[in-house]
Amino acid sequence: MFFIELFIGSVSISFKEIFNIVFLGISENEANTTIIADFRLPKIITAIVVGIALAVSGLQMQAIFRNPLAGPYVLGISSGAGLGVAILLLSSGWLFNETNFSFLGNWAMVLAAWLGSGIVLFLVLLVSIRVKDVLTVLILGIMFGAAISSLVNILQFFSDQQSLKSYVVWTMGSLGGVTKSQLAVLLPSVIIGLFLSILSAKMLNALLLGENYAKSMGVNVLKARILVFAGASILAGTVTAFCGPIGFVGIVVPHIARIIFRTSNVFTLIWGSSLIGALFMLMSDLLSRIPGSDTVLPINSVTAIIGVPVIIYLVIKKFKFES
Amino acid sequence: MKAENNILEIKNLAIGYKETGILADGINLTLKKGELTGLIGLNGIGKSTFLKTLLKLNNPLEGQVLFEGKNIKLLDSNRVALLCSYVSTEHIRVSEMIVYELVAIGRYPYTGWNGKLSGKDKSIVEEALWQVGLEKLMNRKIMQLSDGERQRASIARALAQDTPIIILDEPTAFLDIKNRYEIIHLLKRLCLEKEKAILFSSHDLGNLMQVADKLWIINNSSISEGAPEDMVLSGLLEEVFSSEDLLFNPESGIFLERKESSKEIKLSGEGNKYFWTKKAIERIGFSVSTKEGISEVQIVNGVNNGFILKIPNNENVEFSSIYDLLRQIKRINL
Repeated sequence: MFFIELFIGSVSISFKEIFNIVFLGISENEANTTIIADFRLPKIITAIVVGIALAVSGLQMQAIFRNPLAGPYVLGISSGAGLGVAILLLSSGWLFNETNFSFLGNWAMVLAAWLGSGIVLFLVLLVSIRVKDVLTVLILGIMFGAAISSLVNILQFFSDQQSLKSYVVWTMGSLGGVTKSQLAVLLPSVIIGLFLSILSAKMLNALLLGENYAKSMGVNVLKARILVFAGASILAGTVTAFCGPIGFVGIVVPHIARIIFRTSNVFTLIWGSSLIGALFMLMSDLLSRIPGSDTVLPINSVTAIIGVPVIIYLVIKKFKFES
Repeated sequence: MKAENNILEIKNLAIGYKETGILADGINLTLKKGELTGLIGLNGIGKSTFLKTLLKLNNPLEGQVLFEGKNIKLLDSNRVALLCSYVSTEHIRVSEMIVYELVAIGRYPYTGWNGKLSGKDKSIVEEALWQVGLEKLMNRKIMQLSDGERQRASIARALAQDTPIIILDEPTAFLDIKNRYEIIHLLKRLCLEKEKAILFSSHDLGNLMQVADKLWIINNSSISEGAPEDMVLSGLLEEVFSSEDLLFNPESGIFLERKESSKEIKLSGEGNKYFWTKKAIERIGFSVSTKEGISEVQIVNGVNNGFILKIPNNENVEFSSIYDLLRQIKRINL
């Protein structure tokens, strides 16, 4: 998948040349080197990292809420990021002029999204310390998200056409916008998030039985929640900051992993979801490029088109199984 | 009586919730090693709340719970997990999880950050599976187990936690009679063989009367303790469970509907057949007497049509089953 991705693009480059550029770092054609090293390779790595991050954070949310339809965005992380971006774009008219916006704009959007999802995470953590029942946290998270989305709508209503378009493009998600220097931030953040999720996996295994059982075995439920919410939010929040909200990966991939690996063990599922998440994103990226043309579909639409049938299949299968 | 047998002591405990008030208070009880204790009381009276308070899942409103002399308030949750395991009424529903994995989660307090089982952990898990008779089903998915097997798996998980105390909240709810009997006797066996102190709530008075070393009865916002027989003699069981319609029979330990039985019937015969015919006749509202000159049912052992209905001034009728006999009695409206 990795190599197919390297091969496909609007400029055709021979296999031999790609091999030379990737593994030996040499090429006669400077333009081709740039295309591979600065565009195709970062995009592929981004796709892999995004797939892993969203799948693992979705897995964690499903495990802690014991709800098969929970995903990385149930706690309102994407709405928080959206609010950050919306505020930035609306105020950008005063902060930036046309020339420095495109220059600073990319990083500024990342920071705004990060800040937005970070604030939502902080609020959710505050709530989860006070509220005992985890389902209440879930409902509050969804309500948070809804409230923030409506704030975004209000902001959109008052924004000019240019900002509105930038915002809409951001919500469609994109893997291609991540530069090499941004990758240097995205990658370590995702590694930290993965590290936190591996640390919380033992607790999540016990929490599969329910909170009372977990507590009776010595699980500190508050510590587990903080660790899981923080880990999942870093993963999903960072990805959303750099690539926009990308739907369905986080909900669908853990289910596919459960079916393939036939286990409920969170440790196994973290690795399984990572693998399948990476493949899922690479495949989505491949499909987003219409063969024989230079048009690229928004990645968010592609993941939805692949993801929705899988969810429908799962729901119907579950319904049959239980009745 | 040796004090070191007291693994759990409850002193002047009050249970309930700050919002809704006290459910019971002034509770003073002890749990001993090797004893099976049954907790009974009507629905909604606070049995689950009480059990959760002992497990530190709920906070006491007042008083203390002492494990081996130490107040659980001062023990962290990991320490409590080494002393006391729990089987709740919640159904465990985890798709793809197998029995072995469920039981292995019981080793939680002993394993490291990655949850890896050591050789010792594995042998304890296998021992627990064997104790409850699930060793052959250890690779079965828990969603495919019957209710009885699932309850055994939950108990095995508690056993794998390897604690001196096991607390179970209605382990026999949703089970059929055979499984109920087997689960309660499994608990009894664990008490005797493994010297565990087991406390469980139940509505199954019949089985409790047979196997429990002690009953804790929640009644009138307080909990009393004693051997099941003590509870019968003191009249407490009758006080708790009898009502206008129900009558607790201390001799048999079962309940009967209060009924005015004005009609009498004579019953003669002996043995098992006599016993069950008597029960059946009483069930349809007759009282059995030895008076002469009234309708009579005669039981003959060892023949096919062994139930003979004799009504004065009528021909005798023979029946082959209690069912047919009762139908005839009802039809002619004695």
